[in-house]
Amino acid sequence: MSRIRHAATWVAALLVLTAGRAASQGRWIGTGGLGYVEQRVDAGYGLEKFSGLALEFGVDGRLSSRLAITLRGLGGELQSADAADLDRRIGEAEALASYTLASVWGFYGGVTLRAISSDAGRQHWVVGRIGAEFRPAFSGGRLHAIGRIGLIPVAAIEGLSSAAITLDGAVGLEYERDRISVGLVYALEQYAFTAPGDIERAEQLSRLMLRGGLRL
Amino acid sequence: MRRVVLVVLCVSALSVPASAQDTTAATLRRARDLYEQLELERALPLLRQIISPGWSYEVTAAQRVEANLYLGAALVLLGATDSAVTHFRAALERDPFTDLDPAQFTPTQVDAFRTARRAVFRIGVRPVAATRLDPRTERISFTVVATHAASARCEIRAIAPALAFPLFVGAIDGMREIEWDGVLANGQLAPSGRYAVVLLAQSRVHAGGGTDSASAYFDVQQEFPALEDTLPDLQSPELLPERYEKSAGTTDLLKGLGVAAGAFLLSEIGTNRGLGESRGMATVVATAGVAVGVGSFFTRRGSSRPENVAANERRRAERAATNQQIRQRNAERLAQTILVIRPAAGAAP
Repeated sequence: MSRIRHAATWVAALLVLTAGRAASQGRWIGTGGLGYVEQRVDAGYGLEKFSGLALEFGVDGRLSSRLAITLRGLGGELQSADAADLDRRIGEAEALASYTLASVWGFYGGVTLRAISSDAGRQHWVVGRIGAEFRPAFSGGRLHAIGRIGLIPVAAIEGLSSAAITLDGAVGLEYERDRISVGLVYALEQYAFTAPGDIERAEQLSRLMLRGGLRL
Repeated sequence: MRRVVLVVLCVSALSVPASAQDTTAATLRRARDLYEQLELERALPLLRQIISPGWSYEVTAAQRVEANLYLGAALVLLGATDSAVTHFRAALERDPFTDLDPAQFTPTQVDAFRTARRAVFRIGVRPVAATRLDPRTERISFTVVATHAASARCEIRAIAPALAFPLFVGAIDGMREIEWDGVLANGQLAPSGRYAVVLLAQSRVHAGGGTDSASAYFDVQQEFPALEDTLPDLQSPELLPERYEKSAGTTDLLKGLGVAAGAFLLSEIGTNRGLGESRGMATVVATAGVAVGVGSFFTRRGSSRPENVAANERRRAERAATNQQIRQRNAERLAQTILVIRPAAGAAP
């Protein structure tokens, strides 16, 4: 677990360092978003649902015509659907890099550090993801469809075994005009762990984010 | 010895024309010396020889004029004024620029010469001298002459394209300088080509008679720094499309439906069935995708693209501004044009 966290820290540091290039070229986009986040957990005791609004802030930087990075932070409070369960709080720091191979598609990869806490305790997550991203443009070139399909080969949660390799996906739309951008993205991750005592634990995190961006 | 004879023969052969010239020139010089020594009786035969048809040596026009002039002058001194006037007339008919210098000839001779000038009507234009003319500050001067008072019209004629405009209209008597600034009647600088300065005149002394014309040809060459070419108009490949293609709406509709399908597909295959169904978020994104696709389908089929129209206008304006600057620079260069003027023989090519 600590090795994964070290690797994630290194990746994040590398992205932050390379971001200096984007800053020097004035290609930063500051982003802010409001989203609806839903977490579903079945730890062998039945389905638990938590949902709520989350705020997100971040920056997108273009290092070259092909390479772009994204640094984001998200925080929100998730209410339990069952009054008997404790509400949760979620916090994330994410570093993503994408490399465009053609005008409509490329690869992405990144690391997410996540903390989910309740009054009873806190879980630390380290998630690594990789996949392909599609950005076909609508006519006019200002509106793009966003499709992302990938894998989560690394998902480590404190106190749990590593998750099996699972699916990472997102679908949405993004509109850009001059210095302003607006996006609506639906993203989904699901995990399957083996908890102590060979109990199967399934988790699913989905979110619908409405993002706005301003080119700096 | 044979080589020496050959060289002498060659030198002799080469010197024949020069000897002929020298013979006329020497005879004329000798006659002039005799005239200066007032040995008029000895000078007259020499001068008559030069202008006689039987003189076997080459005589230039200037030599013939000079011979007639000295014959006239000598005859005046000998009291044969009528004969003198005849010779002065012959000189004037051959060269209307001929004149007697009052400092070198007696008043009687000058009077006889004036009589000859009144009797004969000839006009002339002196050959144009080669020069470089800056039209902004300089003028070229054409020298014309009439043997006596005349109504004259001096004009510049371009050979190709044919055009003519007057430089001077009025009376002349004797020699006159007429200036030209290198500009045509329409205000344009004279383009490169062949021109003629033409003098047309009618005698004011001989009632109903005496008209004459004379001309001198010259070439004009405009000289200016090299000009820049303007940029060509923007062609279609260089411009953004100003209308959406007719298929754009359909393509956008398919993309919008693709977003909707992708959202539902993700919610289907990406979710864990054991954690229950969750289509709410997918429905929101799918609705947005369909709305965008349908909206685009109805609004973008063949419709105009104002942003591209504006961008193209901007490019055209930039191109026009660049061309305007080029034209301005070219105009400044053309304003520095120098006219190189050279005398030309004969008529247009």
